[in-house]
Amino acid sequence: MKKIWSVLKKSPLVVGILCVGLLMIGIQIYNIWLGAQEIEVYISTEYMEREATISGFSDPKETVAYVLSAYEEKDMDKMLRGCAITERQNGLSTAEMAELTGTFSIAKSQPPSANYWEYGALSRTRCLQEYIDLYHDFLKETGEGTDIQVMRIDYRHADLQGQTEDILLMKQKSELWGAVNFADLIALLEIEGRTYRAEFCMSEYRNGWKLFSQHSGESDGESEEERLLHETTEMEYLSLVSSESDEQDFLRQIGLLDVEADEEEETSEADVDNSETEPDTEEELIPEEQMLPINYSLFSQTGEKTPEKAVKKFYMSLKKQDVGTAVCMGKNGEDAEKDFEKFVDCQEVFLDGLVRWYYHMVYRDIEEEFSLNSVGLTGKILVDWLSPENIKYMEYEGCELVSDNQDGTKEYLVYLWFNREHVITACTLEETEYGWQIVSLSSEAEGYEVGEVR
Amino acid sequence: MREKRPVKEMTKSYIQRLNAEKVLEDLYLLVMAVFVSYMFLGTTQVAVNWPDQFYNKMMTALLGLVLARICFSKQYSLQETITAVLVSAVLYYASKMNGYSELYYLMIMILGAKGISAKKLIKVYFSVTVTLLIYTIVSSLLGYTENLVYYQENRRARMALGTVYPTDLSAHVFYSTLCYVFIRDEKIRWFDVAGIVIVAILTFLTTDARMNFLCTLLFAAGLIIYLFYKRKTADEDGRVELPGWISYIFVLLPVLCAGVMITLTTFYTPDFAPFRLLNRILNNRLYYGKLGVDVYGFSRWGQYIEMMGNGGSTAKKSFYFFLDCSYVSGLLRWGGIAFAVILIMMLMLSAKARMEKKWVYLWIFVIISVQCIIEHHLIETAYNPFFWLFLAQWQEKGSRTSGLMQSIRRSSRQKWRLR
Repeated sequence: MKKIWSVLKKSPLVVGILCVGLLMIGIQIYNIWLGAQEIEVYISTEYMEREATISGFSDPKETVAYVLSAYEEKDMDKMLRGCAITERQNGLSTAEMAELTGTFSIAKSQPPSANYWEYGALSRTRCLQEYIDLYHDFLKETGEGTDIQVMRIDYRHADLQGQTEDILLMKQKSELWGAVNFADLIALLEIEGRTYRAEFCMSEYRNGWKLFSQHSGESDGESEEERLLHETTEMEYLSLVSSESDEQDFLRQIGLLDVEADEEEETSEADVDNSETEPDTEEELIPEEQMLPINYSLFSQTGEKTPEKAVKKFYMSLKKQDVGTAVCMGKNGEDAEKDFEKFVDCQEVFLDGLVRWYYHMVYRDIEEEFSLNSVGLTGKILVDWLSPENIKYMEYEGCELVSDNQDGTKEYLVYLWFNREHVITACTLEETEYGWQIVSLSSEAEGYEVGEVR
Repeated sequence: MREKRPVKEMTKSYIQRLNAEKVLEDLYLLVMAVFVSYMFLGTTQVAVNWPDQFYNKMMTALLGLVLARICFSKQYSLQETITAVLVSAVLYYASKMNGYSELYYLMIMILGAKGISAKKLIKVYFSVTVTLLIYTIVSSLLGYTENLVYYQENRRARMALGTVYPTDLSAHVFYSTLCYVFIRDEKIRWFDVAGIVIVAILTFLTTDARMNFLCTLLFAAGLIIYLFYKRKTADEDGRVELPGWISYIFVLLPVLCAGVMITLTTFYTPDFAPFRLLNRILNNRLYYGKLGVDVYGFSRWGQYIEMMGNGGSTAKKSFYFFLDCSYVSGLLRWGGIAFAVILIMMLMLSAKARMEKKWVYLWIFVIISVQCIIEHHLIETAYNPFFWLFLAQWQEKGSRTSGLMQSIRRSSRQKWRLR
């Protein structure tokens, strides 16, 4: 001990190095403490926890078979895994879409999630909601408890789809949605002894083919509503299917068939025909038995002990670009296991408010719906204006209680400093089992609309 | 049996080796001067049309010379080799992980300075930077270079005189005074200190950079106290002994400053009045530091942090975020491991100054430690060359010829001792 003491006394260098070590240990402890405070941003239901058996399908027919099997099994999670949810979120070009339509709507237009990941959560949830609706609509038409028998799956008018103009249009569409290819397919289904035709618009991404949309282009005659199933005969169905050579041509054009490999196959076919073919070593893929990887996410929930702390945490999370934690601060009120659809619906409403807040922060005078010409913007400039990157420079200045409502909610005005301006926004909070959570980014008492910034 | 080589031949070979080392050293100093100029001008508004691929060629030459000097050098002891390898590995890896080239430059400069006289190194650095600084100021006053003038709330007009920001000009002046004092060393006199104070006042009047001004005054005050102390206590050879506890604290100052600033920043909250006061005194450094900690967090190998300062233009910026404190900025950007290595290097430099009783040097390191609380120039090539002294030769040599001969004699003596 004496020796150690004398070394320390004589050598400040040793003491200094020990101090550096202590400092680093302190930082490590701080990091551990921070880690312990972090919340699990995403949750998953029992269905979502199922492991994937395949990363993706390389043939759109396989994806259609997979989706139809999900309908047959009444397995919504399985169906959702086959839909282009994250793919659309990551690929959609908001700028081109705005250019194409000439308008932008806060409520309807997809946020620029391919450019800024902060908008990803809303974009993903909107897509998720859209596919959940599709799932229910389809099952409504087939009838909940009925069996769906898939008789055949084909490309719809492969000859027309393979025409140069159509291919060009398809490529433009692909660029818009961040896909590699699009293809229209049809399936002949037998439901309770009657035959139906279902149409599928499939999109190809790097991880394979996904369901983009389902439509028939025809209404039932009584109402204007488009039907997903159309009663048909086999002959009518076959009239929509092109010859095999037309299909092959189309597949070659979209790169699903390798031309050289195809030729090689043809030449070698003659040699092989005479000899006894070897048994197939490769196992045949049965799409119906596969499970695709999870393709969507659900946010968990958290709260704070006081409303003031909750408000601060919410805006500080946005500043830290931790959108996940901010979304978790939003009140959902539903259990994903019990009512999945309502859970997603609540989350979408909250995320919609959050995106509105982002829009108003970065583009103060944004209107609910506007044409690009009227504001003199191009799609690209609009997307640049919607960039939330500078939110990290926002400063939280505090909040003020403006209304203590009888229903237990509390309304707050929130003071922020952004872009050399003091701005005010509002939020309403409620105490739940998780603590104080944000119900909405608005204040009725002060007349602040959802996401409004003044 | 081994054949004995004649003494004459041996001497010749030593001379050849030493000549090669000398040539390489001079070449290195030349390229280093170019590199310093390049980096220095990067902190000014001076528009230079560097030739195509100039940076790449310069770095290749610099790296080539560093390697050549290592290959020709027989001066690396085992301890130095291990230290150099460890420091290089950490700095290089960290720079690759977080993208901050300054770590890589520091590594090259430390290795390149191996065996070169510390004073010579600082003399080259000082002459290059002061010449360029004078050129920048004069050209801005003559209108050839943009003189950024900032009009900020409750402050007088602040002139950058050709540099990117008034504070940067004051930092250049500050580090130049440190270099000057380092060169003067024990020869420092009253008029030197008076000159420093006059330059500091002029810089302050021009830039209104309060923190650097205070640091320069503190530096000058320390020198005055030292000169008094030296007059009273110096022995016949002019050697001075500093009280052990003072030099002990001085050595520990880098880690103390770093520890205090990192702790204060991490636990800063505006709800606590003393914190608010301290933050106001430190010109919002705690606030922005805390934001940096919250948003980016501590990591092992650092990360790229986008900062928006006021420099480079007088146009009012919409957003501001800058980590001024070198310790907080370094820890967040370079990562814990590289930062710890840099802190230990600072400690070792100070400890070496204490061991060799280089009190002026020790005082310079103390002032750098203090200045880095408020400024971010800890390892920047354009400002602080003192880290490069890590492997440099601190002991002064005589004239060029005598130095060479002394080296030969020293080498021969070592050879005899080995036998």
